[in-house]
Amino acid sequence: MRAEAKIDEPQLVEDPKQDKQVIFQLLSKFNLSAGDVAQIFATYLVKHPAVEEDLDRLRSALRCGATEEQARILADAGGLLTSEEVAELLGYRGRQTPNNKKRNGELLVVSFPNRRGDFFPRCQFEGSHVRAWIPELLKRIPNGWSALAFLTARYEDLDGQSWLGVLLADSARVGELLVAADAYVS
Amino acid sequence: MSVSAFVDDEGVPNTPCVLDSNCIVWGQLISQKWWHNAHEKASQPLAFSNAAGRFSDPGLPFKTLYFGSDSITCFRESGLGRNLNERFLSDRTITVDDLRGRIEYTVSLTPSGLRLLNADDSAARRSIGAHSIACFQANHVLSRQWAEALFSAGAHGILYSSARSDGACLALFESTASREALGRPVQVRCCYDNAPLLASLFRERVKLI
Repeated sequence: MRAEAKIDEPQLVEDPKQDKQVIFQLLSKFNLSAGDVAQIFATYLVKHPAVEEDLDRLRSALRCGATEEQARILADAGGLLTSEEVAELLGYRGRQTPNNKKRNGELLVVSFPNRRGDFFPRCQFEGSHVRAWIPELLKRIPNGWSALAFLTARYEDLDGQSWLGVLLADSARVGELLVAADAYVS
Repeated sequence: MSVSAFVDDEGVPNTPCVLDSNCIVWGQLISQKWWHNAHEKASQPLAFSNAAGRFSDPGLPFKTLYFGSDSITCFRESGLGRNLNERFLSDRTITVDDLRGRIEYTVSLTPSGLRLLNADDSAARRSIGAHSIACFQANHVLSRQWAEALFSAGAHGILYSSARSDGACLALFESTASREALGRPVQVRCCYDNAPLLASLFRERVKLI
């Protein structure tokens, strides 16, 4: 019987010889945890260090689940607003103003390869204003997704909270956030 | 005092006294090739800084430049690497831009004439009265006190094990001798093009968006 007939796991995109599916099957059979597999991979790397030819596949592996990660980050950020919704929220005449403010680094924006336009995480707004620390954060971490991942990640040193959670509870801790953002790009 | 008191490391750091440079066991066989990881927006690839770190602080009378024995150690000790390390395992998501923005350099070091303390060498630690490797690996406040004491005794830097990777690190204190010992940095690649680094990030369940 061919290996792929037994497999319930997601199919590999590039596996012309089906040999990787056999590995999938074995891992599944022994019900190995992600930690187990990581350990096997670590050992494998000792004998087969990654080389330049592996770059594309390693990048692809690192991106596996990226959509789910983005969804988690956006949920933690309170969801997204469109340019029109931001214009209405902040009392601007049209969506051009949010776009200008994006270009000036005053608004945190994310985009998607399969969707047109910019999207504005809701967490940066407080009532009809932009939180004062947003432009300061973007001076340090200009990329919207990088800034958002940094803001929503939970940290051991913050007692398991994210910087966003910390600031929503106590806006006086902005200075600490900016020190951490400076360190992030150091 | 028993012999074991000299040999055992109880893991308890102590504070430094005034050091006598003539009695210090300085490091030998120093590597001549080092790696450095800098953000693309850094004003220059190799910049001595007083930004808060293990052996640097705005309150110290000298600036420090950090190196690693390999590219992965340098990444782990960079701002991005440190930030990842502090996050919950499930929240280690970074962007392609984050990796593209970090540039790797190699630099040659001519160590002859440099007085470097090898913190991993127990004889060197004994020569300065440091009771434990923890003096250089635990609390940053204490590590900085040791750095200042060593600087005052004429040290040009400290060799130590990375706390975040398997490699070694060099903290070089700013001085004429240190500057003269450093070669010109050679840009190697950005982190996004470093296959062993990507493999190590994948192994540790870092995700890329």
